Amino acid sequence: MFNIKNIWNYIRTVSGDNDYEVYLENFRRCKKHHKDVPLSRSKFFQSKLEGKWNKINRCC
Amino acid sequence: MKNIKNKIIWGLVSILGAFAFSLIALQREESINAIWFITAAICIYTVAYRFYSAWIATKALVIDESIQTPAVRLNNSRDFVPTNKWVLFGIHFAAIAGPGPLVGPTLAAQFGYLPGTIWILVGAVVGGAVQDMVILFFSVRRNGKSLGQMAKEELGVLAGFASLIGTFIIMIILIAVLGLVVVNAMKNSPWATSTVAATIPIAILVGFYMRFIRPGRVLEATAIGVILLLMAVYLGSVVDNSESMRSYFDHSGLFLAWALIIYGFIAAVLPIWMLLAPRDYLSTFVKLGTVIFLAIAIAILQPEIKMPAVTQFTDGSGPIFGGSVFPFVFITIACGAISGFHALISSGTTPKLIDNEKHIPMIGYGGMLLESFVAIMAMVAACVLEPGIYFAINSPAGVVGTEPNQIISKINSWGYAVTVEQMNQLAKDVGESTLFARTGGAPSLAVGMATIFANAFGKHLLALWYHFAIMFEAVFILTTLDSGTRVGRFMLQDMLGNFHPKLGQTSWLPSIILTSFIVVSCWGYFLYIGVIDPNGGVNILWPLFGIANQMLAAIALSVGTAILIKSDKISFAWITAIPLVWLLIITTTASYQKIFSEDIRIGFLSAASSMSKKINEGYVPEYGIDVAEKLIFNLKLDAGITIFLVIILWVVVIDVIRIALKTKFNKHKRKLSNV
Repeated sequence: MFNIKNIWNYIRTVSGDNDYEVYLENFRRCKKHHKDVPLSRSKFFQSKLEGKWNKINRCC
Repeated sequence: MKNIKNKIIWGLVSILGAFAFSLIALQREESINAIWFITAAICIYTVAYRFYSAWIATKALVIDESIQTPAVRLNNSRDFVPTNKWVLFGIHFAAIAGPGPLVGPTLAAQFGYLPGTIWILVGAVVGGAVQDMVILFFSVRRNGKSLGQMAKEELGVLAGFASLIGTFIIMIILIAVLGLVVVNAMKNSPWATSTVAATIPIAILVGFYMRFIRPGRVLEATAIGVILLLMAVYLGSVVDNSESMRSYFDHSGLFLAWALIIYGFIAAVLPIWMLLAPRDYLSTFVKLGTVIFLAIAIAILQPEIKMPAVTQFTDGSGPIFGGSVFPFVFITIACGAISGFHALISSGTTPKLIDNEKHIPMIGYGGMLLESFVAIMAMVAACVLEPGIYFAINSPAGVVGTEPNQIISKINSWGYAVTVEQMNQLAKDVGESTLFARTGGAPSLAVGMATIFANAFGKHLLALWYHFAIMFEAVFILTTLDSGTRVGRFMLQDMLGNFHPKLGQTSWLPSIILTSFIVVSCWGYFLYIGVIDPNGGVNILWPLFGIANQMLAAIALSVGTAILIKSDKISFAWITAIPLVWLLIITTTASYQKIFSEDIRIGFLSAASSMSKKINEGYVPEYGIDVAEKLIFNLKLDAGITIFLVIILWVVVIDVIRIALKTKFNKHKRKLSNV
């Protein structure tokens, strides 16, 4: 239950380090995307940042 | 058997919490150990979470595990993504935890440790955490709608407008006051200035790394950035020791304010990936790391609290900001107890990531409790300082004078022992030329944190710890400044788009430049006035920010109360109505006093008329007239803003009362916007 791998995975997920892997996994699972090509890592990262920072995202 | 064991455990936790809390509240003659603050906080939080949040979730909100959340129903792998509860807790906490819970308690310590500590604990449990959880729940039930949209749909167009304008005003005042905190920390400090300046190229370097060299590799880029930040703290001492390099970074407050204004404009115009996003990654890691480190250090060191439980400044004569303990301790603590700003996060990103409704108490209520715990640690860090040192650092020149002997004799006259030699030695130990009149909370918090860190992990490193703490505060204050300016720009573009569609396009460069300029000018103006104000600026800006933030919280609680009433849960409406009534009392009283008090350190209008009188009677030298006239205009402007905030708050509350009465007399056809 408590091991280094779990902690590492947690840090990667909270920080967004593995967002692209999660995106690819979701993309493959989701049938409606079958005809499309997934975004490149660079494009995905760019669009993620745009989406994240176009609204109130940090508090006082 | 298990049931009895549980009851015994929770009974013991409750008794320990009550004992620790009574020790904090009743101890007068002897000093008290900081560990009791931590014990009281942890016990109160766990009991409140286990019982109060669970009761609200099951009885009032009726959380239903079988209902699919928007993240599950509308999963698009981008905005709506079902997220593990622990991961979402981390994301939500990183979003709500800003500089507020650090600065507010540090300033409120002028009343002594007790008033602020009580409000941090009680306010969070009964108000702030309830607000965050209730708004999160209602937003989840409405496909992740924002507070503004919910206010508009449940209360009316005026309430929607009030939350929009309230958000914009908070953003402007918040950025100005946080800018002032950073400026006061960097003022005539080459070490602090060079370290903070170094965070800009470091963030840009990290941005380029994540964009071009290793796209999206957040952790490795952040690790490189954090190492560079630590090197920048060390290299700051090299700058400080070099006569030739010192001159490049030794600047007055006014120069630094202009530099920050220009920086703010450039940061708002630059692409997100270049500065804002990488700085946020750095600040989040530094922030979480430092807070954990501080908690460990307090647990190891168990420092004694030196500040008295209650000081004589509860009468309103405090040097840092004017105003009596009621209502100003509630206004000053701000985010550590209840923050309207949190409602924007709870109705923004977080509801779109909730995997199951049963996670709502942990994310909403639990997230706020952790933020409140940060505020408790800030209070401890401020109160482990000798009170004389605390007041010598935080008192502005306008109150205590400018000469060291003059400052010390003034502080001694209040009954707090401190000497010029002691302050000089402390300044030398932390690598500063002086620590007098560094109003704003950041330097005193840094001295407090550095003292704790140095005693726990190495006394000879006090100067490094101090500048690490300054860098830690500055790095996420600048993130708030960058992101706040950008959000202000989006809001303005949205509004201007109604008049000229092209101006509403967020990617059109002329619109970006124009709206960024307007937003930066707004907060830049308040920052400039704060810097030239001989009373330190914090005296005006922080209460104004506190009033605006609590007003937004009152609007969020009004939305929560209205939805509960309209959902036939009027018997549960008190859970949001009680904190709402309390916020209404404190914001209205504070606003009234800030506008009309005859004490010139509290009332905007009396301060303006006193200053005018001094000019007319020739007491102000010719070179000071220009500044005095600017201050007079600003005081009148602040009075106008405060009146405006109070009016829109009462309009919203009257709307809630109208809905309650109509519901009671069954004349109101209840229409809820939930899905």
